[in-house]
Amino acid sequence: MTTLPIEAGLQQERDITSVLHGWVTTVDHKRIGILYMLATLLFFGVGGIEALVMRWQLAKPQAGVVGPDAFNQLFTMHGTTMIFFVVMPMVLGAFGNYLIPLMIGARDMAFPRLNAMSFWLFLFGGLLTYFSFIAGGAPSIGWFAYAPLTEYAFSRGTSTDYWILGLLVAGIGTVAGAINLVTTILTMRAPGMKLSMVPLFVWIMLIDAFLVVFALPPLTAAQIMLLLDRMLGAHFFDTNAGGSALLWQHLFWFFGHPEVYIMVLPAFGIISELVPVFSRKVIFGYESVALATLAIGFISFGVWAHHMFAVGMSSTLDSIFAGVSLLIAVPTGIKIFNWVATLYGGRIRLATPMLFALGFLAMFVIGGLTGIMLACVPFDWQVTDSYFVVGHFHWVAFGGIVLAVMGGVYYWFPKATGRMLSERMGRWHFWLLFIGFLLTFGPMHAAGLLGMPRRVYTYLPGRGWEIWNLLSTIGAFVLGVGFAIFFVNLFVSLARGAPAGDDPWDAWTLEWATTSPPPAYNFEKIPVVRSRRPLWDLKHPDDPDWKHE
Amino acid sequence: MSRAADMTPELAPPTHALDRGKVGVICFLCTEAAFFSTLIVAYIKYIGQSTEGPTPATSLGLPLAIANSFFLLTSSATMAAAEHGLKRGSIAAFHRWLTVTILLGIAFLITTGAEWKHLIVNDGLTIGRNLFGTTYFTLLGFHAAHVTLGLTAMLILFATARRIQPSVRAAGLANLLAWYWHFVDGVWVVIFAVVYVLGR
Amino acid sequence: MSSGGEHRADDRETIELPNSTAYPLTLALGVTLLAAGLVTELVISGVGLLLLVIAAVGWARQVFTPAGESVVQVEPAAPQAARPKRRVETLRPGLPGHRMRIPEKMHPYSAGAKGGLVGGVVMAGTALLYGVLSGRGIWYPINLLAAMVMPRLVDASAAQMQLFHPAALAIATVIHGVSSLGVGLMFGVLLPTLPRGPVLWGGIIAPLLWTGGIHAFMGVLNPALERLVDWKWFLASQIAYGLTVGIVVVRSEKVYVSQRPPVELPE
Repeated sequence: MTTLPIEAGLQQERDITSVLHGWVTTVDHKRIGILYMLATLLFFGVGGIEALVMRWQLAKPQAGVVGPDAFNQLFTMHGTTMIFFVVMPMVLGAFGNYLIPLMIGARDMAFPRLNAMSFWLFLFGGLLTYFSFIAGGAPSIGWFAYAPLTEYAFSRGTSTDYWILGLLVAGIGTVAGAINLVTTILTMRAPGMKLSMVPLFVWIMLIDAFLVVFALPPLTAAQIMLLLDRMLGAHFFDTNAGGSALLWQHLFWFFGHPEVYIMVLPAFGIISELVPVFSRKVIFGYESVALATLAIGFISFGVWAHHMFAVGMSSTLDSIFAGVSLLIAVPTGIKIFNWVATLYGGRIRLATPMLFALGFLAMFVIGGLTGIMLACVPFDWQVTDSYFVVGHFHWVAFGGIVLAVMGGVYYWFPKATGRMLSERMGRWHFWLLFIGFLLTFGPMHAAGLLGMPRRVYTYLPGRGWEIWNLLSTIGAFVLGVGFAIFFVNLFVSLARGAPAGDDPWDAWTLEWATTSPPPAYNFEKIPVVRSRRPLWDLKHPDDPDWKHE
Repeated sequence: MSRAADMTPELAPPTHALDRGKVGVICFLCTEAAFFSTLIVAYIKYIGQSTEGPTPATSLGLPLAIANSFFLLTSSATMAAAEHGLKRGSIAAFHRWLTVTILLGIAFLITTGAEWKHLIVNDGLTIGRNLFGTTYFTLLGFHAAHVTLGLTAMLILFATARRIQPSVRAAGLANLLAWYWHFVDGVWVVIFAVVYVLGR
Repeated sequence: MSSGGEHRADDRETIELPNSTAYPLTLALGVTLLAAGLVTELVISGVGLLLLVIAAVGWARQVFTPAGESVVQVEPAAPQAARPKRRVETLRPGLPGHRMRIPEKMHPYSAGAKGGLVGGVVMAGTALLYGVLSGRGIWYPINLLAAMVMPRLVDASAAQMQLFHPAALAIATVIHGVSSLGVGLMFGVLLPTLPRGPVLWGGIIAPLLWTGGIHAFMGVLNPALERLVDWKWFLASQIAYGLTVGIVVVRSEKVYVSQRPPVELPE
């Protein structure tokens, strides 16, 4: 058969169009999960470049890479992007969407079309926020946008409005996604799978989705109030008309601290899946991990004002919030012990996902400890709004969330694509990330203790901050190289990676019981579940788990 | 290599103890509750904080609010009756009671409109006048918007109930809509207590 | 992939799946334009609202009519290639580890408590020995410990520290007893899990770490002690304690950890 070149070209074009059409109209949870992953990786690249520009500027005193206005926009967009357009959609959207129906033996989410809407709202919300760059400048208000400084009197122009509206749009999508997750987990489980049998990742995501359900609407309400102030002249945060200067802070952090757990709990969930599989042991204390997560969920609603110790609340309030904040270390510590006890005596295989999991364990403990330091009011007064705080939350966000998420990517990439990621590049990626991480965020603690405030666009020489900032900048670029290798790994392995087979890690949860990648309907036959390790039972009918639970 | 899933010993259709529509709507109402709680907290925080202008004591009257409460609470009962009618399979009863519900909802909106007109024209109270106006119009406005949304959904269900197959599904939808409507009524009860009793 | 035809609940060859649809995308675009119009031109909001309504109507039609779903043929998947070489070890039933609670045997908690108390006595003896040998008397180390919670002693001179204070004796005994017991319990659980034996860890490494840590923050915890203590002897007493606990724990008889026995559930 001969085809004229031009016809072949047209045919190819039609094929691309129809593939593209298939992706944008999809309601398949796996495709939506992949779309989420691609979009968040895109935003991650943008947010990372923003961070690199800031580090470049801060590498030496009085550098002239960017001016103060641009710097304000950079840190605002970096924080907003990483939190709202990277971590949250990545853990809830990409991982939650892709894995939960597979893990519970369902064919799709409870509301597949709503699921698609959540994704598009997130993407368009992110694009709307970034549109501000074209429309006269990005928001320069910090990611928590303290009112009254974000009132129209102090923040002219439309950039703040773009911040509010972009997050509102994305927030609707996030809430819809959380409702979808809760409903899926509660109503779509495979026959026989009780709630006490779902993988810990699913348990943790259930609690996580509940946190979104209760924590995000207050932010939405606060943003609407701010929008009404700015557009219709309302007075919610207008101190001249008797409004409170603290109401925004309370409302924002009432969302903001559960938000920290919304982001980090899924990381705990990923670790709770990786550690048992790569230790060849059952998770130690399944129930206590689930209960500790529940406890974290509840306590996280009672700690918000520890972000506000420096605003001058009463000492009673300070003590209460400090006490509750310290309390949250207990369930978190329980989980650390669960994971360490799972490792203990296991036959540990240091594949790339496990490297990331172990890196997470060590680094998250340290990040948690600086958190305990900051929960102590007098110490917080000393270092509030300093680089110590920046170092602390990046230690948790990067050493906790990013490392766990990267481990998750290496673990589940074979399931989503049918190909293994390169182990060699994976090791380079891990070690560059780990060293770069220590080098970037460790010195920030020192700079903070030496008095360097956060969000300054430059500093004078002679305060002892130079060396720490230089180290941070070097570390940031090491991180950049590490992530470049990661992206290369993704592309190369997608095209030429070793075939993965159904179950490359010899794991025990249901997502490995189907093909890689799974068909649109996930499972040819929905399996019947009798234990927490359904795939173990299927593989070892002579020695099933359900006899031991 | 045989696939693990092929070794499934037996097959059973998925059994759902919980209905996903119900769970979804309960979750949705939880987000709504969190949203309204925030607006109500802001309202309570700003009671008596206005630096000038009309205050609740001078501008808000109980008669209209009591009429509104009557409309909404009654409409909750008629909504339950409509839902019950559909569950029994009687479209006629459903249409009858839903009509009453919609009329009561419209009466609520008209009364609210009258109250707002009075506040704006006579008292000069707008959202930008003072903190009272800001919090009052925001809270009441979002509630009225929810009432409007509920009425729209009722109108659609009114027109399509006959065509939705199977009829159990229509009854299920009426049930979910009723939950939403009861929730909106519940919010009104809190608003009545906070705005017209506590705040006046 | 999609095909027409009826889907029956008991039919295992076909599965009903929702169709692809652009309405969620359209609705999201509508919401976004609605929002974007507020900061640009209200006309854009109008377009957004229009899109929103169109999408909502179309969406509802899909949900409430059979048009939204179609029946998909299940294609028995071809067997996939074997697993690549890089994979985790296979775990076989019968091998310890995957289900057993390990360690299988451990020292009883009472061994840790006993070790802590005996170690506490040895530690106190070392400290008193220091008092005697340094010529400051046996009350000196006791008063130093009590200064942690006795404001009266914080600024006391070395001479005052040599005198007998009944309250200081009581307080120091309580602090010493409780911490000896607590650390002993912790050591009892931890030491046997560490490589190369409890005596090395309990006797050398832990006291070194502990003393180093205390040295760093004793200025906050107990300024008087930091000012007046002899760190060589402090370390010696810690080592005496750690060695004693390690030895006592090792000498105790191990007990089995309770395991979950397999249960036979009704089929």
